[in-house]
Amino acid sequence: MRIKNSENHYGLIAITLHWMMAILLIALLALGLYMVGLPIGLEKLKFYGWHKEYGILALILVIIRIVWRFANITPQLSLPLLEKLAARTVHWAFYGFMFAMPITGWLITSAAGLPVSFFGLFVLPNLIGPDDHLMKLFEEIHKWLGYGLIACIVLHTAAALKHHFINKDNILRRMLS
Amino acid sequence: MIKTYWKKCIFTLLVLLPVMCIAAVPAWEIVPNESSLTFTATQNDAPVTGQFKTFTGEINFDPNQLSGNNIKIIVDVSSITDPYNQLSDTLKAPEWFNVKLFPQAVFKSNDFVKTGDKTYQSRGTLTIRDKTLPVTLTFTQEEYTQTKARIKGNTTIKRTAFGVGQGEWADTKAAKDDVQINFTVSAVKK
Repeated sequence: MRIKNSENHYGLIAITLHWMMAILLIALLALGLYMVGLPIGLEKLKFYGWHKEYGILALILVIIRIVWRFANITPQLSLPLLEKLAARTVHWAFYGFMFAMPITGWLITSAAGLPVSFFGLFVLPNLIGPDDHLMKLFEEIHKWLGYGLIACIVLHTAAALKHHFINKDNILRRMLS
Repeated sequence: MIKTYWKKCIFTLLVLLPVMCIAAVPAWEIVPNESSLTFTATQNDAPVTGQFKTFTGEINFDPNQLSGNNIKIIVDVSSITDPYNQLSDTLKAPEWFNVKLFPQAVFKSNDFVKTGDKTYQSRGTLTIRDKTLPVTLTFTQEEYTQTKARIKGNTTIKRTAFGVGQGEWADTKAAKDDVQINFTVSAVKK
């Protein structure tokens, strides 16, 4: 496996970033959906702490990923125009969600006056001052973005599996090795 | 001649007596709008700041003569506020401040030490909930005139020593034990 992408294949960096983020984003979505329903307590506080720092990690990874994407070629998709358009739309929607999710999360916690520590290494600055009204607004946006991201993951996974098991092409395999 | 001299002396003393009494240690009245009491705790390794909006006090203080000074600050614990409403509600609950049972926190001191040109230490006791423990405040005199004074200071306490955060909240990993208290007190001479 080569480090960089080629005309027909993803490279090691792109594959690693793809699967790291796949695991991270699904875990963050599951944790997010679970933690909001918990009663106020130590467990809830801890889970929010994890959700925030791993969310910032996701933001750092997506920045690296988009830089990498522009720094080398994207393997070609030999698909009919409409399917290609659908696939590319979902891919770019992912980038939108991958940026918008952590940024709205950061805005929520800033508006709540509860800054985020990145694994005890440094404390992130608040993007905005304390504001109860804005906090509720960003919470709502963050929630709906989360639902949108789940929908994209479902579409993307279903398409990948369809190509692998029904069309029997190399679309999934080229993201595996 | 002698008679008149003594008369004058006694008269002078009588006139000055009330002045001397007042001059002993001046009493000060807190100006609430220009005073603040905040705390900074640590949640998930990041700071969170709140405020006690209401506090009153008896301050008898003379920076030039530290013996005989005494202060008593009474904090209305239910006036705790935080940018995140859910947090201040939690802090009022029984596991934290239990404001229904312990509505006041009190700092008392009559022991002052000058530590620098305009810096002082005040050793006293702080009562939160039903726990009274020794606490030392450090403060700086920012303004001092014949009629008005402003000081700014801080101290750090261990919240669990006062029983603030009980049960699962006694854990000090997610919510650290050390809490910094910052205060600014503006006062006018009574």
